[in-house]
Amino acid sequence: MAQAAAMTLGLRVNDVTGQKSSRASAVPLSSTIGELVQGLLAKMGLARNDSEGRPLQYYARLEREGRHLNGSELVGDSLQEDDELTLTPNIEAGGY
Amino acid sequence: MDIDYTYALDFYRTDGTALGQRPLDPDWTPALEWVHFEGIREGRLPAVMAVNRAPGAGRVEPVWHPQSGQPYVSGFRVVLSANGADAVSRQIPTAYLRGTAQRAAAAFVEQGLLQTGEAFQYLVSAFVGRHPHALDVAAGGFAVEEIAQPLPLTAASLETYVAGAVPAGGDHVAGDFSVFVRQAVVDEAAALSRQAGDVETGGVLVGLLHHDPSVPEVFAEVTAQIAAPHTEAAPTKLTFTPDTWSAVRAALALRKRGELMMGWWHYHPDFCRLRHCPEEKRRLCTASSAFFSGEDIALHTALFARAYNTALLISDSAASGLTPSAFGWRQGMVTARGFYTLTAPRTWQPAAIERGAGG
Repeated sequence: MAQAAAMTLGLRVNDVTGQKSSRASAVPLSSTIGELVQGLLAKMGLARNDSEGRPLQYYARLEREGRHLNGSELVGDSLQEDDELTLTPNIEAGGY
Repeated sequence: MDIDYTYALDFYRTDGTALGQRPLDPDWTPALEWVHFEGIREGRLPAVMAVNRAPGAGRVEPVWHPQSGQPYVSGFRVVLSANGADAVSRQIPTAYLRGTAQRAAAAFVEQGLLQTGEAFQYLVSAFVGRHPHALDVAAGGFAVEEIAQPLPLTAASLETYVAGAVPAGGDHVAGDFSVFVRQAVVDEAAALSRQAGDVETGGVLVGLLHHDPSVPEVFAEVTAQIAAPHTEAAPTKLTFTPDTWSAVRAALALRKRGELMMGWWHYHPDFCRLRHCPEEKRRLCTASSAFFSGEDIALHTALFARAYNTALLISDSAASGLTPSAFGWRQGMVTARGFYTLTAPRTWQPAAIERGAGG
């Protein structure tokens, strides 16, 4: 059990407005950041598609380092226990 | 005992010809969110916003059509419970499903049963039974638990704010949550819009939530706007990028005033002029009036889903010049709404912040 626990970590995750915060636990170190982001979007109930049904592109910003993580990075390589992530989207407002 | 319902839409051409029925799995989150905030405003629910409520804490029931009866529905009753009892309820219209109906109608267009843009009618039906929600297996199987956040309410007198305010924007509907916007915010947004010219621009609204226990009531004060940097701007599109959000969050943190992100604002250029509409038609063109596009509604829904979140729109037209209007949540739908501008100078003072009790 202890060995299994060392293969995961816990994080605090916020939406971009700071109005939704969650605690993610048992995040596998072997997951990619991209997989983590998709999982967080689903479990936090954040919007995943735009008005046309196309997937929204989200990035995970690591507050400790002040940078957006690359989707191919591994959780175990880039994150530490209790790190704080902010999920930031590329999102459009449209006129006509 | 709570009863689960499944819903369906029956579609008809405007001549009454039946097109077919489509099952629905409505997203009741915005409706529950709105009713929850109504409960907070009334002092019936603790001032804690949480998206994922405990099972049984919120439910939606059909309101049967008074003439047609079951299974036809004329509205929905949204009920939130606290401490085992029904605490607050509101009725919302079937228009809540209008967007869903429009998306579902696209299937009839694909089948050739409807023309693109053709008007249609729909009836909502409800049946007892649990909808088989699609399993959404997220990668990794890790657990996520929402952190309930008390609303940072500052004590203030609603009467004082109303006395120093001027009504603005769209219709002020009785019962709407009051939003006060400092005139400087509107002025800055207008100036940035003028500067942007023929492309959209925008920013984030920041401010405070106030609580007047004498009423009781909760109301918002938009204290500032933070212009959005690192956007991709076009005449009919404005993209907020991850760098935009990082910069806005940093700017908000630097202010150190305990402000929240209350919403956003953006600018619509004179679309009639950009489309080279004849001058004599511009004053009557629908594109010259303030409107929230499907993308605007989607952005507001995705990022500003709290019932107190508000959007300002600065729109330009030959008929009215630069005009501010507001959009916000009412009955779980993003709709045009009125707001108030604060014209009297305000001296910011750190006020006692009431923390909502845990739910």
